[in-house]
Amino acid sequence: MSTVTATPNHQPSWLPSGSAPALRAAPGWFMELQDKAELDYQQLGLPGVRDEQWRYTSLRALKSAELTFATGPLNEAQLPDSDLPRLVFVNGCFNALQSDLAGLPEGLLCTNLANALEHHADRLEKVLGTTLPDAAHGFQLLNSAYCRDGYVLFVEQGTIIDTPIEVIFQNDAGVASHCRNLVVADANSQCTIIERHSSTQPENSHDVYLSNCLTEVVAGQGAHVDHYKLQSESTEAFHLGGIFIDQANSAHVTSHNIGLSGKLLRNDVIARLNGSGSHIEMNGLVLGSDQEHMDNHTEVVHAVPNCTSDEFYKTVLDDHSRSVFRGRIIVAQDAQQTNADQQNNNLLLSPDAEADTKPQLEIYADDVKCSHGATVGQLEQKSLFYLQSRGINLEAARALLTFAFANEVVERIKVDSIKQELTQLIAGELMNDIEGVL
Amino acid sequence: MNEVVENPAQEQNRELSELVKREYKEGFFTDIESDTLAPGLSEDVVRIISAKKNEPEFMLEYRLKAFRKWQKMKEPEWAHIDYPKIDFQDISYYSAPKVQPQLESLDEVDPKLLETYERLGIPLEEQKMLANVAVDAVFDSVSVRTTFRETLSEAGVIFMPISEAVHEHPELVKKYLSSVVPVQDNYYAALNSAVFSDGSFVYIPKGVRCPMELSTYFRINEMNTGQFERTLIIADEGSYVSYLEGCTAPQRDENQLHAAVVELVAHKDAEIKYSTVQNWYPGDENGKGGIYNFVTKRGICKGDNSKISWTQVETGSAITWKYPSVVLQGDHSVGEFYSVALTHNKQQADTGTKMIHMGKNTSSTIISKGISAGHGQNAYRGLVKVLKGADNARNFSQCDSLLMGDRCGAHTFPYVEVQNPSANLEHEATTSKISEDQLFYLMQRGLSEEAAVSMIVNGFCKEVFRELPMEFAVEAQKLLDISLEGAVG
Amino acid sequence: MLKVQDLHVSVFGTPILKGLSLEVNPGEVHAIMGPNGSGKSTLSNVIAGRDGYEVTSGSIEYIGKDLTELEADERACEGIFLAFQYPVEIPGVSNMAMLKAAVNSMRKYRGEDEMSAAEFLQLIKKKAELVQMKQEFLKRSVNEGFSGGEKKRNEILQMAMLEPTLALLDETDSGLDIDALKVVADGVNALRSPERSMVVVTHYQRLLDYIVPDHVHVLANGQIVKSGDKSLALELEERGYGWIEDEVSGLQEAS
Repeated sequence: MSTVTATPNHQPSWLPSGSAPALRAAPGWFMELQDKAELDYQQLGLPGVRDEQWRYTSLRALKSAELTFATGPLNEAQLPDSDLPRLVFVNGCFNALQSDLAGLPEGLLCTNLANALEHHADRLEKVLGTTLPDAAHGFQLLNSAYCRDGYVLFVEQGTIIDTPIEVIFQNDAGVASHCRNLVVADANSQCTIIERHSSTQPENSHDVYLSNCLTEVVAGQGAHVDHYKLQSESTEAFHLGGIFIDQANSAHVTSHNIGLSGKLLRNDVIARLNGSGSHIEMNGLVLGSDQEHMDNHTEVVHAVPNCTSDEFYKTVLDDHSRSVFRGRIIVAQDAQQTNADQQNNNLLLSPDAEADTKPQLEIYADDVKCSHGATVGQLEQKSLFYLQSRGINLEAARALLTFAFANEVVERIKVDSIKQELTQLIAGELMNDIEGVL
Repeated sequence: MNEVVENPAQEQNRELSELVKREYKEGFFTDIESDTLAPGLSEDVVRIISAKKNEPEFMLEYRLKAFRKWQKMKEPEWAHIDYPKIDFQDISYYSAPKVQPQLESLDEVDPKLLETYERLGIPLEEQKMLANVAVDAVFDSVSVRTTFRETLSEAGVIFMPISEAVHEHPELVKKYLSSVVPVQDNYYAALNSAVFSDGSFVYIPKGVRCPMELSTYFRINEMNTGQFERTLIIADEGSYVSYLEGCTAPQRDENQLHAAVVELVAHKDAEIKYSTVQNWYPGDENGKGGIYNFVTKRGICKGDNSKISWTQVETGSAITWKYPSVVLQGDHSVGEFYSVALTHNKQQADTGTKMIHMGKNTSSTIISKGISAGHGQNAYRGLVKVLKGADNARNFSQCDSLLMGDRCGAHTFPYVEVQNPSANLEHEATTSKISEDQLFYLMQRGLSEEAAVSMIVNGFCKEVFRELPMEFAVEAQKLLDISLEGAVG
Repeated sequence: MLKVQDLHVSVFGTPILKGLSLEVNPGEVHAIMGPNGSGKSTLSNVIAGRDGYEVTSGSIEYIGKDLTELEADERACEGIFLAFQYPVEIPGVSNMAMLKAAVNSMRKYRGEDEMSAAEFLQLIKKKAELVQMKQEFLKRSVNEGFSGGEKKRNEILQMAMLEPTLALLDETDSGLDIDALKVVADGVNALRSPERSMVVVTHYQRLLDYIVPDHVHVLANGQIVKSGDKSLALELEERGYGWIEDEVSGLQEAS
């Protein structure tokens, strides 16, 4: 037996040494929540490839990365060219100067977590942490233990926010940040949130950092929530994300999960349909290149009868990139009249790319219609030939079809500006050669 | 999942061990009369098994190697099944085939059993054999066997118990045994390698098309092969064989645990078609009794243009855990898997396939039909893997589940891993219940509800049944009806 | 033969038929016409015994028997045939197998011996010619991958095989081009006989050019509001359903 028990089992360097620096004026229940998560983490540790849910995703590089626990913003964020109301977080902390919430209507509370803990603790207490999975993995526990900030949005009953709210998350090199976000949409309210994740450096950054960022969404009766998550992380960055959605009767939630760049992107998207008539739409797009590794684990739990779910994830992989998809649909014993569909299509552009996909159905009710489909392949020869016969050269034909493949996900986006932005971005990435074809 | 700590399970566990013990309470040593080893597994037991079978040295070494690997392994727990822990030291690992008292006529057979045979449409003479009734000269099993043997040996086909092959064709056994399923492949395969009782050995020489289905013969021969069955089939270049194991007739066995291993080797241009009808005792409606069926089946398409096709109809056993697989090593090789798995009452099945694409231009097809009724749990688990060098690999997978009743479950766990961009893989799965529209349509045409359900279920399985040899397709359909009895309404 | 009296039917709690009465004698062909949503399909489904169609009051009597007491398959065995508006696809079950099971199920019900395979083959060949259906269709799965016209012809083939006493044709003309319509109508006409009655449910008059009815009824708002001979159908073709509805609402207001 080894006697080296003083150091906990190979803790990565980027965990806070000792306890995390306490948040100013955080209420007791929150401290308890953080302490408990820390203890749980000590028990569980980080996942490894032996865990079924991590079998295709190696964390070796991340575990040995030299990073420090973030305590505040160093650089300013690079702001996108839009005039939407926005919240800005750098290195996991709120940047009030760059944030601007002008123009938001009455009937909502939109602020940052640190502030909400100080001034609206009672509202937070009821919901914060309630949507996380019972068997949370190490990163999720770390987030609960060390989160210091994030965005908080309470939309009151019947309030309809037409303008999307934009949230910017950026990190500096060498930083490990843990943001926790919360969206509570009361009965019959509507809101749209756009999360943008990137480095503080301009485009094509190679900064190494970890963004461990979780978002909780609680959608009340008849509420509509449209959530976007755009990830254009540095090519050396690690992004561990989670979106946890709880839905009441007739709540409609759409999650768009777009992975554009990053050394390792891993998202756990979990929706629990707890109210009759609720509907979840999960859309995902992964564009992998270089050595990128993009891993999406999705789960839809049909806990009650008469709910519907529609999942649509697409992947385009170039170079040495690799994608992992796991889509799990669970229909509980009494969740009759369930209608669930899931599609996962993967396009491999390079001989060195790899796609691993694991769609799963677990069904315990009989009056259901559930289906899933998964494909892995390349562009169809006959489509290429058809375009060539119309005078388009092979290169351009390839780009055109690849664009069309990816664009099917973009077409599902409801915010026009995002749709345009992504269309251009994909076109730009894929179609250098064919300007003027479209 | 399997850490059952509740009382009922413990109780069942105790009953299980008592059941196993009961048979052996006569003595704790090898009784020459009954020729059954006392429960427990050790190196000595492995040596005794090998010695009793008078095996050559290489077999003893093989078994010991497997046993040592097994000792270091753990029972797998990832499958979607739930059962009390098995005490492997509470099982007897050697029992010579018992001679059952022969009956004078079918009148002496349990009428319930006869009724089932009747409904399955099993020919009278075969019923007698199954029920161990003396058969008349017209269908004397010995003479049939002799005729078969003659026909086969004329064609150069070797077909014999593997225990005989060990002596008569040691070079073939040495070369191919565990060449597809390594002894340490999994817990049950290791166990089987250490203690296997008997099974079939088939070798089809170059260019030979096996002149008959290796089925009827097998049905007669198959009785009492024991709980750790081992099968090895080699199809040499350009040969063809169709092999059927199992039987639609209900089979009871005191051995609760069955862990078989089947290995198939298809050389260049060879084709092996392997069909299974599994109807082991499923236990009663409360899940009491019933066989645990943990099977490892794998074939390798070793040469170019070779083909291996698995077809299975799984209606029996309390627990089924099996994944007949194909390693597609040769270029242009083809793998197929057609499966119907039915779980009723408290039955559980976790079954599927693995298709490993290694050669160029390989293709595989997976058609899986799961039917869950009562409290049955039915899972499809499959892997399609395309390795880097496997250019132009093709796979099509279709996994459909049919649910009957609101207390059963249907689960689908496919894994798709692709490392080559020229691959083309398609996986589809659906789950639904029998549609009211279909039911009404058939009833409007005069069919009773039960007949309508049976017709729809059989239609659902059609793509698999048509892969079975003709006479078994018919029996399989009837078997499904019988297995689903009480599931309707 | 069929006597429907003051029939009230609800589907999932919504009243659809509200006091419908209809009497059909042996050998007669009745056409039921009416605008969409008037309850035409409900009538044929409730006679055939489909689940979910609840008779809240009134009666359906068929050759002296109370139909509501019988299951759908028993009604079929008693000689009631429904040609579906949307014939159902049943994957993996061949047309031939289904029909053989149906024929023998009905024979068994009547206490007759099963039809031999040879006899059955001969019969189905003959009947298939009647609706100009190719042999290969018989081997294909029931309605799977059939065109609209093929499905409808298949319904008539089944009717020819099962030789019902009362045939209900539910919108058999919908989705058919004129050639297919003629084939179907010829098939139906060939089955007309003094012992066999038919109820033809349709939205359009054009089918009735080919299957000439003895009586025409107009169904509106869950009741038969007007009955007449075949000229009524022509009048409807000319004037549409509007005037009937006006007339009915006029009547209702007056009462």
